[in-house]
Amino acid sequence: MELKVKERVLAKLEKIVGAEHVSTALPDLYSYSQDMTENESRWPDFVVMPRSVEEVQGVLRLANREKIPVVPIVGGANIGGLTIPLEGGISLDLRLMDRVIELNEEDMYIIVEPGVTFGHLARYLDKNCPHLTYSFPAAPPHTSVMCNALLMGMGGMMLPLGGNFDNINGLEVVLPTGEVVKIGSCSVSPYWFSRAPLPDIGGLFVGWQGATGVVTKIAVQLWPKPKYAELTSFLTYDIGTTFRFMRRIAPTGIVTGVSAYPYEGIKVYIGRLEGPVERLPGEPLFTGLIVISAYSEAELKAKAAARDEIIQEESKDTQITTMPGPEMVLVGDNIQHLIRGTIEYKGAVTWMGTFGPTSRWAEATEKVFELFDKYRFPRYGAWSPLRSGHFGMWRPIVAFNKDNADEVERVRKFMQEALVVALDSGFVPYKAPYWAVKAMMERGDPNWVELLRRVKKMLDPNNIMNPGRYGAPEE
Amino acid sequence: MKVLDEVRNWAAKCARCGTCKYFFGLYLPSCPPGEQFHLEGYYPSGRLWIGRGLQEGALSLEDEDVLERIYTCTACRACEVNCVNLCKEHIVEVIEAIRQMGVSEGCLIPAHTFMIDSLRKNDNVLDKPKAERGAWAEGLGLKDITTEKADVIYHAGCMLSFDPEIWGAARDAIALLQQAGVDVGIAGKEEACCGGRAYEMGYLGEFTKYAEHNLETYNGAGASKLIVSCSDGYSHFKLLYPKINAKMNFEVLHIVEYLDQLIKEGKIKFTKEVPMKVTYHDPCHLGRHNSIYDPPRDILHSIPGLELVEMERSREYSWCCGAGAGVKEAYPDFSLRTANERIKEAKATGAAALVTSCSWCERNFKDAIKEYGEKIEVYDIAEIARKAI
Repeated sequence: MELKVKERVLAKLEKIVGAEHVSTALPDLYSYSQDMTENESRWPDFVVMPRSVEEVQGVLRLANREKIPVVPIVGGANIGGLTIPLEGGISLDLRLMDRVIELNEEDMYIIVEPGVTFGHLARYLDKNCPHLTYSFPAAPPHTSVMCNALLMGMGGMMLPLGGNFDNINGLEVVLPTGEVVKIGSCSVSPYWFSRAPLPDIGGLFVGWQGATGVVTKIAVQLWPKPKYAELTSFLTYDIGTTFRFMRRIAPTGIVTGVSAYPYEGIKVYIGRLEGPVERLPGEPLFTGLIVISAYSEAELKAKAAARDEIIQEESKDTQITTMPGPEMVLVGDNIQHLIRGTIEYKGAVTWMGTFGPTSRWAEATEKVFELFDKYRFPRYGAWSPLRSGHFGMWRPIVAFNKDNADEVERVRKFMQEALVVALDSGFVPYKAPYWAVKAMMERGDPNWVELLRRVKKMLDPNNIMNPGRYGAPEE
Repeated sequence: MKVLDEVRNWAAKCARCGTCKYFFGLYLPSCPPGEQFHLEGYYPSGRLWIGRGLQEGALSLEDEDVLERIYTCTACRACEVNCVNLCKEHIVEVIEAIRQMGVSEGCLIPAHTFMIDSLRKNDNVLDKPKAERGAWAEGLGLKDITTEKADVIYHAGCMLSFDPEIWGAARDAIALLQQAGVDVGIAGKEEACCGGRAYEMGYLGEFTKYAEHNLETYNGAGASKLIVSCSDGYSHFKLLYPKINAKMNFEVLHIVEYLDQLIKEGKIKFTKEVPMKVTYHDPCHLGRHNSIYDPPRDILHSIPGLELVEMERSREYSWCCGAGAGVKEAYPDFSLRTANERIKEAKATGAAALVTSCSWCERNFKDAIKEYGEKIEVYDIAEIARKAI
């Protein structure tokens, strides 16, 4: 950006948000230029931290006049490079907009601003309505409730509830052109109880990676917190058994969650091992977790019996070993204790996180295991069914050293090939990095692509919002 | 610019997951500069990434913005409690290494230059005349360890030595030791700074000079123990002095460790009631740096009539007072705002007094009260304990 333009824009930004909430300092721009993934660094020109909807409007109107890109960010911990400003401009850090706007206990929803984190939400619920909970993900506590939902993230109760994107009741959005609009029942009713029964235009902002506007409020559903929970670990020894077992248990309504992780990766990442991976004879292929929860002891007992019956039947011809897991009181919450620190511990991590048909898990997994071996990474990832198994998460994961150029190169190649495996097997990336979005737009239904571009152009005529992603104009 | 190994080895291990920003489980803020300035560069992850940027050549220590982000860290180590990554135990080490790089390149903070000049001139970082160093001990009849032997040496430290408003911490500590029959002496005006603040600000040479000097003095004095009331000083003797590989012929104890021991041995008996509700602030250099949490609490619990209530952020989850690592001198407004956060937290417990065991914490809390007008008493633990004898 030309210096003269930069100075002019800086002066205007300072008037909108206050000088202490704008930065052009190099160490700040550096921080916002990259994330924990292998995606290349691109520097913003400004970091701006608004504190109100009016300030967001002011920034977007200015950005439109000056044709400056705007990239919304809160925690920046999405594993997709989604907040790296591909074309420079303003990193719009919404962290200071961190109020809980309304808790509606009776109708079981909460309205929060972008900067409300999972830690913040957990604490708030604990204090104000301990009988309600949210589907907390296995994410660092300082990450955004809103961003997780908008980016198609999921939580510990994804099996019965679906992803957190399924449980959005409403939004308040600042459009790229500066207008504020309410989405969902809240646009007609004083209550944010659902996006139904109105035409669901929430889809214009969910999954778009900030390319269609800045969401400034989100209403998400809360759920009665089960009083009892039980965690069981399992080990399986072949791909077929693993996914057959998970696909069988998923739609029964017995379990709150079931997930599988390649044993090799657990061994390496939790054990913090370095060097070539040694696969021992008879070693399990997967380890997994089954969570059941209940509102009474009798219910828990019945679910446990049903779970054990399935395990017993599945174990007849193939080996499934189970053991009780650590004590847990709160569904979903303690998962953070299990997972945190495994995947980010080397300083960088990436994944090909996708949703897809669980019927194709085995096929895609066989192929991606070959890729792990080809590129010399431990086999790791996460596999979980959502919404009673109507679809599932298929997510190969790689932790790597960002200061090792060879590893970064191998990771990039792995990711390119993993994308092909995913798409060929019918899986679709969520939180897709720009290059995966491009590949999907090239492969996808041309009318779908055209519609994406039309929507983007309609909402964001000057293409200021996180350009280079979904709906990007043809090159 | 030579990039030190600590930066090279650990800066790139930060994934910026954000876990450093909260006390896990409490989900309460843990990083004072991050909470004050909000921009990523002021958080631990931001500082590690600055280290990476310096290594890549994308950032420079000649940039004042870089220096400000690096030097607003109080080295409280809250981030190290929270971090889950490989860099967990090295975050402050990286920041201190970056400071050393800055100093060696001549990229200096004026307030710190002033402190180091004072150190060189007067053997203290507070620009006070060396001759006044022992004034706090007037009338206590203490042995002078430069001319006679004592079994225990009390090292007052720079802050306690020169600030009459907080002399109570030292004088009451001595009174308690004397009551227990401890043979205690001091170096008086010959006492010199421990050098730890210099280390934290990046002046490795100055630190080494003072560490060598103090080890020679105290080894030569033939005492069995060195007792310190200042938590910063205690931590520097315990954790930094071993870095120069010199032998220490004496045991270093913080006054809370020693008092706790003497109480449990029956050598100090509390006979007076102290009917007060207090809360205790864990100094970072005593708590997180050295894992000393129980002795001060045991002391307070043994005082008749005293009620101890805990702040929500306590022990390893304690909120920093804001004074450490040269921050109080270089960024006084930020330092006092940080202290005031803690004062408000203390008041929220309903306590009439905030008790701590560090002269820098005590000073900063008292300054914050003067600045912001909150109504709560601040005591050193020795002062509270003295009320009970």
